[in-house]
Amino acid sequence: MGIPYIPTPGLAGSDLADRHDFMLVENPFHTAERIIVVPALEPEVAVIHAWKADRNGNAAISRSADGQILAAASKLVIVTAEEIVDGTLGPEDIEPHQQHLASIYVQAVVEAPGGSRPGAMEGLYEADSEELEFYDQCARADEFDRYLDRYVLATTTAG
Amino acid sequence: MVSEAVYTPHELMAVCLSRDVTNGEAVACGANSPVPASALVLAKYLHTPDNEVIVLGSQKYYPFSGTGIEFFEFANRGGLDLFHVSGGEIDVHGNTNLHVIGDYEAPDVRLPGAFGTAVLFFVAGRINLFRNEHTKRSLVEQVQFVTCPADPPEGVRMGSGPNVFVTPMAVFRMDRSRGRFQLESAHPGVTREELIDNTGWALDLPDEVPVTPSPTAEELAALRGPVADDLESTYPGFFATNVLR
Repeated sequence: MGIPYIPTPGLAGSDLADRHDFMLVENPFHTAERIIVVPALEPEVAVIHAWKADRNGNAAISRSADGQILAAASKLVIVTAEEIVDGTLGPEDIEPHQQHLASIYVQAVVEAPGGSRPGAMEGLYEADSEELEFYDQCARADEFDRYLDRYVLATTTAG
Repeated sequence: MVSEAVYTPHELMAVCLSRDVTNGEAVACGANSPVPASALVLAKYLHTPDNEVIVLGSQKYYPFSGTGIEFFEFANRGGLDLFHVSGGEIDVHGNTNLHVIGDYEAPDVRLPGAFGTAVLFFVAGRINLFRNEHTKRSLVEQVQFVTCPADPPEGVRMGSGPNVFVTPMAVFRMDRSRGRFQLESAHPGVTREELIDNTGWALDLPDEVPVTPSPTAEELAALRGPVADDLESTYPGFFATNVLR
């Protein structure tokens, strides 16, 4: 977005704001009021999953997940897509619950069917509650290798 | 002999929260909040037909056409009258902890985090709290980590803050003169001793503890009928387990 920082109407008094880069300042336009200002986030890399993408990086992404803002803020944007389509994917080619991400923000496109698993991809597959539960167990018990062995490394060797 | 209606703790909580919704408001709850979501939709069917109901995660109850950020922009500009907040810990002052139990850098338990709650808490007209567990570890005198502060620093703008707090055992209401929750009623069947034994702050109970009115037949019918129909796809597990359809 290119802005140096942004004011926010909340957070003051929260322990969340107790960090060196969040500041409680006088609102310069209404000096009786105090507001929190936070620095802009500039991610080095953003990975955004899409239903479809073309080879230039135009993509049909989630409307609710605000991926377009993330892409605009990031230096390198990688789109992973359930499907790579031929030709140009334009704003007119997407569904109402999707948002069009313009290729001008995107540096790389990866074909990744199932890329949202174990989460859901609306219209294609549901969340895998069994895997999520196992992930949850492994994360709690500090046994994350068990999760990796079953769901990541095993899948890779099996091709 | 009056036959007693059978209902679950979650059904009663939803009914309690629904009774505090006023007609003509824009009202909302966050993702993964089936109890307040049910309350808002129940109120809409029964006594707040003109409300704008916003349930994050629901397509039916999401009135915005833009991306996810639009809800927060709408709230920031003062459009939201009522928002619902929970927390791993909620204290007697209305502070909530959505972050950590124990040391922040090496926590015993890491809670889900706030998403936008620490902003919505300020910009919403009022906040109703809910907690699906009424124990001494959940209802505390002072939270270990303040995610949402009930009493922000001077000069910081905030709505009226925490208002009603509903648990599986009781309803509390904020006493603004003292800055503490006061018990409004204990749910049917909950004893004075159970309340004292399970609440992590010193309760100031009257001699006769008022009893929460049971859900009416009309409330239960709406909750198990149209409300469940509208929200089941958003919260399939909740309606299978906690609502007696």
